[in-house]
This record gives sequence, structure tokens and C-alpha cells, in this order.
Amino acid sequence: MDSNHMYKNTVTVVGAGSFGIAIANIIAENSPVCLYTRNPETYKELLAGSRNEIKLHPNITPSTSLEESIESSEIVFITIPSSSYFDFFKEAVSYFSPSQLVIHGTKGLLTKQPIDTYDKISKEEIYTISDIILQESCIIKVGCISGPNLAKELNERQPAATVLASRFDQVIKRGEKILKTDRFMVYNSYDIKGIELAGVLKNVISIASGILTGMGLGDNTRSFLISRGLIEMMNIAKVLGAEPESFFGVAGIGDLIATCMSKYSRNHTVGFRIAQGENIHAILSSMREPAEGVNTLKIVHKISKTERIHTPIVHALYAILFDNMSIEDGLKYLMSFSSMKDVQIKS
Amino acid sequence: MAKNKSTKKNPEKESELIIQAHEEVIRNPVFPRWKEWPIVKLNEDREIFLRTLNKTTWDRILAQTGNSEVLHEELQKTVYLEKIRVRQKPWRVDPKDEVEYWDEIKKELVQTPFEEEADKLTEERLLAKIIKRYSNEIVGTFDINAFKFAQRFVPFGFATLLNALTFRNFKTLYEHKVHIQDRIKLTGEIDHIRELSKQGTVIMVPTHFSNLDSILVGWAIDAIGLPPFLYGAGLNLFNSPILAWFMSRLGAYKVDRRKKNLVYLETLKTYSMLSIQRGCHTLFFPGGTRSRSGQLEKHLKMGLLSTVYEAQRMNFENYGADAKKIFIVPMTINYHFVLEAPSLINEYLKASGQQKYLIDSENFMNFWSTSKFIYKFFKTKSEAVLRFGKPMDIFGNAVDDKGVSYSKNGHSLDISEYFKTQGEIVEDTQRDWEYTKLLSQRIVEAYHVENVVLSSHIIAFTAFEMLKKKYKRLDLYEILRLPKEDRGLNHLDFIEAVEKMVQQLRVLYQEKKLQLAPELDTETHLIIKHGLENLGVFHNKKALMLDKYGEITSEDLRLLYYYHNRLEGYGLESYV
Repeated sequence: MDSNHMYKNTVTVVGAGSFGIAIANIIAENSPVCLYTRNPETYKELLAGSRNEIKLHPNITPSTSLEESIESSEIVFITIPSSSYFDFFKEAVSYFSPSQLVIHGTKGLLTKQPIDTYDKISKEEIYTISDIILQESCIIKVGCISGPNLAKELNERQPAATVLASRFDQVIKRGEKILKTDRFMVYNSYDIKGIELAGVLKNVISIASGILTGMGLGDNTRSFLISRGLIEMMNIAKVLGAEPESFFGVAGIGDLIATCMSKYSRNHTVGFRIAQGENIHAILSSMREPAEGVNTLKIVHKISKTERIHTPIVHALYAILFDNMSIEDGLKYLMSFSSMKDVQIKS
Repeated sequence: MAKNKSTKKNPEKESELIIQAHEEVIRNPVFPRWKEWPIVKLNEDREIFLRTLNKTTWDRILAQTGNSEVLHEELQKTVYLEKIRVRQKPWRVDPKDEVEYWDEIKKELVQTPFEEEADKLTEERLLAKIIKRYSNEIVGTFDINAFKFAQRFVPFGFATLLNALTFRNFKTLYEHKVHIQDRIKLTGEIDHIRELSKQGTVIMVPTHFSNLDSILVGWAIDAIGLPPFLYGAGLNLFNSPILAWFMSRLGAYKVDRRKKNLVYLETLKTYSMLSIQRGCHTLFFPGGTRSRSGQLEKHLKMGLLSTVYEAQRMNFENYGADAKKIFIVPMTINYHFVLEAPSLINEYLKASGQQKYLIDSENFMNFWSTSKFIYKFFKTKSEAVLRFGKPMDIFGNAVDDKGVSYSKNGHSLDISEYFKTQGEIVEDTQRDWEYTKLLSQRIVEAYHVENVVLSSHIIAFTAFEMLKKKYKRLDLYEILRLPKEDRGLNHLDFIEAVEKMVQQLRVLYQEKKLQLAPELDTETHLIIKHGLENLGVFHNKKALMLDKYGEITSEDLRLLYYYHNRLEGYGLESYV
């Protein structure tokens, strides 16, 4: 991109999955949007004005040209699955300029190699999406949004809230301007790592919640899971460099409750089907979009071991999914600890 | 100069990292005519520069304080702090009229108690007056003759010392010249940095372990042919008349750590910003003070570092995207022996053990203690390795010889874009502060990558980790208090452990995570021998030794811990 490049008055959204479209529709109320998809079929649907029965706001212009999409807007919003990030930047890196602001809405953790190839893992080898953006591009002004933002409900135009996190005031201010509408509330935070991790780690608990649903267990058990799960999430996040306070807000406890209650989440579905007696590999190969929680579970399980973090739920869940532990034994395991302090955040 | 005395035994081996023959290192000056040196030009314009500095600082403080009520309070605070300083910590270098001066300012402030807008002029006038006093103190001069003298004297002094120490009689003294370069090895991206010094402003940011650092770096900069750098010297050094005479003529600017008021700090930062903007190459130790623990710096002082962003932004504003750029050069100084190690590690343990705030004890280094220090350094035949690290732009991107920035994927970058919003260069302090944090992370990473691992570091690290493993249940303080008879390590076990450590270090070297000294290019027992001969040689007590029973032991575990710490942060613990 040459240095005297002028941006159009648009925001680019990369990725036209259900969440990408939901975000594009929200932003379109404040600004013209360029919505990028690499899939020609999807592009055709978008041109026709709707996809999967969700209508597109007239302010949205779809595009299949990556170069044009990235170069046209100063703010780029990325909503692709975490597993696509490395490939995406390989292709798109030369279209970005240091003056751009990049905000992402992806809830995933990444490692340089597939997680199964690691014997043990150190915290330096685990990356959040913003780490990857910093590493793989010239972009420094990075932000993320995270919160209870189930695409289905957003697309039904129900009221919701999110957290926009960045270390740059500029990203927060301009991000708020394009995101905030009369049914979408935007809170902000400087702790981008904490907000990212909140969104990522809750996926693990969501799988466990799915299991409880599948077992037909009630509210006591689920609340037990949610509250103790939150403590485990905070302890892991602390080790990975986040501020545990971030977990008390919309992106932490808020999103955790939403995913543990909702039946729409893919992670919840994984847990539910496990409880029905299905095999994890069969479940994963039958799903169209990836359940981020499964990969995150593997990463979190390994780091808990290296860093000696007390995470019984993670351990039990891992054993149920991958080591043939029965669900009953998993629950027994959680009950096997001697009584301990309720809230204790690792210092 | 490059005579190329190709006497290397294994020319193709890993030893490319350290340049062995000193002839290859000493370079001709990049700018042979001293009148072209930025520091000389700055000195010629000194009066105008001072006026710009005063005005800019004044503007900046007024912009920060906003209304005159805040300014009034800031001035009161300044006077209050300064009066305490004058009373409690007077130095010889301080002007004679300190007491009267601050009394006077106080009187004027009190006489005009704050009223809305009424006496804004008084405060602004007083502010200007104080800034002027500070700027006059901070800004040094540059005297080419003093510089030329020092340029000859320092190596000559070093060399004479070396020769006098090595050879006993006068005849051999002049027949066998021992060069300073034999003791201080220079390595790294020397040619690259020389090229960059023509393209823009070089900011050298070394690690800081010893009082010897600034002299060595000063010599090294001259030896690779760079023009003299601006350098912030502690005002305490100016207490000594001889040092003061030199330093104040060699482009050193004065930094007074006693003065912590807003006006002083703002004047200092503005000075740094304006001189960098003018293209004066600058040296500062971003760690602030010497590393107490012996670890590579993990947290840097960001105040002065942050001035590069304003300087760079203003250059882009004034001259467009092709404006001169600022290049950051991390540097590591690697010693087998740090004379101050015992006192540094004691301060560190005291501070970390009792959680109390560490007050940097002012070392009143006078001419004689400095000389004694240098004398000891050379007498011990101790070596140091100075490594000029890979230069980067102020956003941590790699740069080529022409100063063009490249992203990690090899795409060229126009870094003026980092300052732009909607096509315009925009001032944004919060943004620049975040950039500073990022840069300081990059520098810390670079310290680890450019760290040259010496034989002594390896044996110290391995031995201390073996003790930690042997006494798993003891905490650090208990290990440091182990009685003599419990400190011994089996010699064979030790060799085996060092062998494993060296292997892992070679892996890290291949992964470009650190540098290895050439002495490591040999068998394990020779590495250990070299290490034992060099580790903290001049300390009264041996950090590590082979005792008469054939065990590896330590006479001073705190020292061992100190030298061990140099290899912290690479995850090497699990290889012992």
C-alpha cells in the first residue's frame, strides 16, 4: 500500500459466518460496511441480500477481493475461525498498513504447531488472537470484542452487550463509535488479554455444561460448575498474563452464563453428545464449523500441568473426552477433594 | 586497518559470532571530518538550542498543567522538593547560590497567593526562570580538543596499564604491545550500524551491569568509527573535578537523580527529544541503574525512551515520509567478572527479601576509584564481550543498511503510517506510550537474543541449579545460607550436567535465541576449566572452585547466585 493512500469511509468485516454477518449488520447502522468472503457461493447469497435467512443491511457491500477489502478501510474487523489466522495473514499481510486499526471477534487460542504434537507447553508458546495479529502483521493498534454475543440472538435484533478491549484509546473510541447502537451496548477495557481469555476459556466450561444437560442434571450442579469454572478460568488467565478482574464483567461471567445456559453453542453440543454416549472424534468430524472449546481444552490441560494450576474441572473434562473416563467417575473426581477455600486466585 | 590476520583455527565453525582478531574490529571513522559530527553542530548552535529547549519545555508544561491553579501548585511542589534537597543532600557540584535562589522563588510565589487569572504572569515568569536554570545545568558542551585527547588517552591509558601489568620491565613493555582490544571483544552488527549512522539517528541502549560500562561503551563506539554519542551522566560524577572537566567537554549531559519534580523531568525529556530530533546519536542505559540481581534487565525505564516517538513524529511532520529515522541498537555487555557483584547482589537480596523499596545508593565514583576499578579489571586479565545487537526502528521492525524498515514477512514498511489517523499525522500521547511499552519489550527480548553466553555463566548457572535440585525443600534464602560442608557437588556429576547444559545452549543458539562465546567451541572439561579460571576471578571469595577433595564447591553462594542469574529466562532450569 503506498503511503499517501486514502481510505474510504467504510469499515471492513472479514468473514461472513453467522457472527460476521451479525457484526456487519450492527456496524452498518453507523457506517458503510465492506463484507469480505472468500467463498463465491456465499458471495452470491450476500449479493442477493441475505444468507441463511438473515437479511443484510443495505449499507453492506459484499466483496471477494481481499486486496480491495483490506485496503479500502482504516478499521478492519476480523471474525474468521482461529484456525484460519495463520493462512489469512500469509495471504493478506501485504495489504495491511501500520495506520490501520484491527479489531477481532474470534474466541480461540493458538499454538505454532498442532497442540497434540507438544509434549509439554510453556506459557510463551500459547498465543491469543491479538498476539498473532501483532506477530504476523505490521498492525500494532489491535482490539477485540468479547461478550455474550450469540449470533442467533444478535441477528434477531435482541438487546445485548459486549466488551471492546484495546490498549489504545484510539481503538476504543473509534470502535465504540462504529459498534454502539440502541440495542448493542459497548463497554471498554485496557486488558485485552483478559478479555480475550475470558471469551476463550469459557468454551471449555461450556462443554462441561453440555455434559450436565445431557445427563439431565439440574441447576445446583450447573451453578456449581459455573462458579468453580470461573475460578479455574481466572487462575489460568492470571498465569497467562491477564488481570483476573476482567472476568467479573460482561465478557467474563456474562459470557460464561450465556454459553452454559444456551443450547445453541457448538461447545455445548459437543458436551451434550458426549453425555449421549458418542465418541469425541465422531462428534468433531460430523460438525460443520469447529468447536473452539475442544482445542482450547487441550491447550489449557497442558498448561495447567506445566504451571501447576489447580484446575480439577479441566482435568476431569479432559479425561472424559480423551482418556475414556466415565462421566460418573469425572463427577466423583470433582467431589474427591478435601474441603478448601472457596475463592483463591493464584498470585 | 583490516589486515585480516587470519589465524582462526576453525574459520567456518560457530566462531563467526565473535571476531577474534582485533584488527578486524577497529574501523575508520564514518565521518572523518569532525565538523560534520551532529554533536559538534549542536554545540555550535548551543545558544539557539538552549532557547528552543526553554521555550519548548515551557509550552509543554503549560499544556500539561492547563490552568494556572495547577501550575501554581506544581511550582509550590517544586520549590518544596528543591528546598528539601538543598538541605538534605548538598553536593559539591551544586551552584553556590542554591539556598538563596530557592528562597527567592518561594518568596515570589508566596507574595502572590493564587487568585483566579490575576497573577498568571508571575507563575509563567517563574516557570521560565526555573527551566532556564535547569537547562543550563543539563546541557553540556563539546570540545574537540578534549575529545581528541580523551580518544588517545583512554586506549593509551588502558594499554599502558595492560602492559605494565603483564610485563615487568620497560623493555618488554614496548616490544610486546598488549591491546585493549585483546581484552574487550567487539562483535555484532558493526558495519550495519556504521551505515545507519549516516542515514539517521542511532540510539544505543546497552545492558547495565557495572560502573565500567559507560567507559567501555564510549571506547567501543569510538573504536568502530562512530562519531561521539550524547550520553547522560549522573550529576554525582561531576563532583570530581577531573572527571567533570572531561565529561562536560565530551558531550555528556547531566542527569540529577535527586531532582524528581515535574519541571526538571520535563526539561530533561525535552532536551533528549530535541537533540534526538536534530540527529544527535545518543546512548542511554534503559535499565536505569545497574542490574542488582545479575539478571538481564526485564523492566526498562520508559521516560527517556518515550522521547523517541515525539522526535520521530515531528521529523515526519516536518520532512514527510523520507525524514531521517531513529534506529534503536540494543547492546549487551558480557563480563566474567563484575567487580561490584558482592554489593549488588546483597542489595538485591535485601530488597527482595524484605520487600522494601530499593534506594539506589549513590556511588561517588571519583577519578581514583574509577582508575582503581579499571586497574583491577585489567590486572585480572578479565575479558569482556561487547555485542552490538541488531538495529531496529522505533516500532521494533528490522531495518536494512539504507534504513528502510521491514515487517517480519519481509515487506517494506512506511513507519510514518504508525502516526497517522485518517491520512494525517496525529499527536497522541496515550498511543505513543503504548508504543514505548512495546519497544521496551522488544529491547528486553533483544537483550536475551544478543546475550553472549560465557563459560563462567554456564558453570555458575549449572552449579547453582544443581544445588537447588539437591535441596528441593529449601527456599532460595536457605540455600544461600548452606554451610560449607553441604555445598559440594560431585565433579563427575557436574561435568555431566554442564555437558547437557552446553548441548541445550547450542540448540538455543541454532534457534537464534542467544549467542555463544568462542571458548565454548571445545570439549566440556575445557569449558569448565575456562569457566573456573574466569568466573569472578578477583573476588576475595571464589564463587566456584574445585576443592582439594575433588568436589565442585563455592566459597560465596551469593556470588554464585549472582553469576547464575545471567542465564535466567531461557527455561534452562529443566535441563539440570
